[in-house]
Amino acid sequence: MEAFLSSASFLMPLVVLLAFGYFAVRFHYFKLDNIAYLLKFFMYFVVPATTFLFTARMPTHVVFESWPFALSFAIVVVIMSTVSYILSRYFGLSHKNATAFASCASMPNIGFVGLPILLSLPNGHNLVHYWLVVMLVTLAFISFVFVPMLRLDTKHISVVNIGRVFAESVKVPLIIATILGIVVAVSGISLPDFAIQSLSLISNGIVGFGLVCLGMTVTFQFLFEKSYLVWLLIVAKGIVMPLLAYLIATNLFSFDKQQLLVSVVLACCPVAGIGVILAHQRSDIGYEAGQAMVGTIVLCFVSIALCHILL
Amino acid sequence: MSVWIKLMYLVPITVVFFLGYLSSVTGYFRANESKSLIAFLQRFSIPAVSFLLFYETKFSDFVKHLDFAWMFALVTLIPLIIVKIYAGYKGHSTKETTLIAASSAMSDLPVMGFLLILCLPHGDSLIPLLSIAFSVQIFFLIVLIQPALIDKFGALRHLYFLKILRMPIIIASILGVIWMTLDVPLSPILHKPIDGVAKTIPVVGLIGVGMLVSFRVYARLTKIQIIVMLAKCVAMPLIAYLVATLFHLDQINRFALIAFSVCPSASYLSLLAEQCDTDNDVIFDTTMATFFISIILLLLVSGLFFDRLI
Repeated sequence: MEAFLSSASFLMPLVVLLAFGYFAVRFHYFKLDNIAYLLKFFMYFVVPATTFLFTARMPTHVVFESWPFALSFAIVVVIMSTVSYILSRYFGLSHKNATAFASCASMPNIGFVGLPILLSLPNGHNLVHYWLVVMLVTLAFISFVFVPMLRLDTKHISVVNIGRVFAESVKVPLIIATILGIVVAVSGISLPDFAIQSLSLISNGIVGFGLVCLGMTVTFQFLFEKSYLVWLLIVAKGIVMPLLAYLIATNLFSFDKQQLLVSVVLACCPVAGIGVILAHQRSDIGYEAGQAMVGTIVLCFVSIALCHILL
Repeated sequence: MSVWIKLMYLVPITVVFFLGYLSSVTGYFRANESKSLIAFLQRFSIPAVSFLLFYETKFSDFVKHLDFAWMFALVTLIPLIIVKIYAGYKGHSTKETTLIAASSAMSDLPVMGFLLILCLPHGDSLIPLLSIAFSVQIFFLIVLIQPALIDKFGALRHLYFLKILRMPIIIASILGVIWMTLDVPLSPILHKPIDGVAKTIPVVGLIGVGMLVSFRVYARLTKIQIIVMLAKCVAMPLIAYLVATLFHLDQINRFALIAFSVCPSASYLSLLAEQCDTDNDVIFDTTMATFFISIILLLLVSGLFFDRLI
C-alpha cells in the first residue's frame, strides 16, 4: 500500500484538480449549465492551440522515429475496435450501436487526461512526441473509420462519400491545428517569438482547465448502473486495452522501459469525449458511453498508479 | 532597451485577447456563451491567483514595500471618492454608486497583473509589489465597498462577515495571507493544482473577455459609464504618474504603480454586483469598455516606462 501511495504521488495533483471540479459542482459553487460550453471551448481552443504549438516546434525526425510507437498503438486500436465490434454485433447490438461501442472501447481520452498525465511523469516534457503520434493515430481512426462507419446505413447499402468525410474532417479545429503544425514543422518555418509566447499562454492552462472541467462531469452514478454495456465498456477500455497495449509492446516491439510505460499509460486513459459525443449523436448508447467515460476516469488513475509501480 | 523591444513583451497578451475577439466576431464561438468562461475565471482562476500572490510573497518583502502600499492606496482612493461623490450627486442609489466608484478605481490585478508577471522578463520580481497592491484592493473591498453593498436593514444583517466570505477572491486572499504569515510551505499535492488553475488566467481571462468585448459597447455607454471609463483609463494612470514623479520612485516601483493603474476595471466586481442583487450589466459593460483601452495603454506604458526587472 505504501509503495502504491508513493508511486501515485505524481498523480495526486491531477486528482486534486479533478476534485476541485467535482466538489465545485456538488456544492453548487459552479453551475452545471456552464460545463458543456467549457468542454467545447477546451476542445475547440485549448487543445488545438497546444497541439499546434507542440507539432510546429517538434523536430520532424523525432516524430518520424516514433513510428514503431504509432504502429503499436494502431495495432492495439485495430484489435480492440474489431473485437468489440464483432462481439457487440454477436450479442445483438445494431451496426451503429456496435460501432459506437467499438469507438468508445478503443479511443483514449488523450486531450483531457493523457497529456496532463504524461506531463506529470518524470521527464514528461520529453515524452510529448509520443502523445502527438498517438493523437494522430486517434484522429485518423475517428475521421476515417468510425465517423464513416457511423454514417453507413446497412439497411440501404450505400457508398460512403470519402471526399465528403475528408472535407468534414478538415473542418475540425484539432485536425486543422495538427495539419498546420505539421506543415510548419516540415517546411522548417520558425514561428515568431510572439506567436510562440501567445500559444504558450494558452497551452499553459491545458492541465488546470481540462482536469477541473472533467472533474465537473464526474458523478458516481455509474457504480449503480445495471446496464451491462456500461460495465463492458469500463472493463474493455479500462482493463483490457492497457493489458493489450502491454502485451503488444513487450512481444512485438522492443520498447525501452519509458516507451513501455507511456504506451500503457496512454492506453489506460478513459473513454474519449469524442467517442461519447459520436455515441450520443449517431447511436442509441450515448448514455451508456457517458457513464462508462466517468467510470474509466476513476479507474484510470488507479490503473496508471499500478502501472507506474509494476513498470 | 529600445521601445520596440519593450512593446513586444506584451504583444502576446494582445494577440491572445484578439484571438478571443476574432473567434466571437467570426462566429467560431458565440459571445453570450463565453459568460461560462467568466464564471470559471471568477470562481477558479482569480481565487487561485489571489492565493498564490500572497503565498509566494515573504512577509519581510511585504513590510519592505509598505511605502508602495500607501501610494497605491492614494492612487486608488482619489478616483474612488471623486466618482462616488459624482454618482451620488447624480442620484444613483448607494449600491450603484459604490459599484460605479469601485469600477473606476479597482484594477483587474489578479488577471492583468498576473499576465504582466508571466510575460515580462524577470516578471517574478513584480510579485511582492503586485501582492501589496492587491492587498490594498482587498482591504478597500472589505472595509469600504462591501459594507456599502450589503443591505443593512435586511433580515441577515448580523451575518455581514458570512456575506463577505461569499466572495471567492476574499476567501482565497485571507487563506493566502494566513499561509504567508505562518510561512509554512504548501505541499506539492496542493501547490501544483493551484498553480495549474492559476495558469488558466490567459485562457479564460483574456480569451473569455476578448469574446465578450464588442465595439458596440462604446456606442451604448451612458454618461456615468463614460465618466468611469475616463477615471479608470485616464485619471488613475495620470495620478499614478504624478505620485511616482512626486515621490521619486525608482524604475521598478514607478513602472509597477503606473502599470497596475492602467489595468482594466476588476472583472470580479460583476460577481460582487450579482451577489449583492444589483444590476451587474452596467458594471460588466464598463469592465468590457475599459479592457480594450487598457490593453492598448498597457502596451504604451510598457514601451515608455518598463526597464529591466532584477
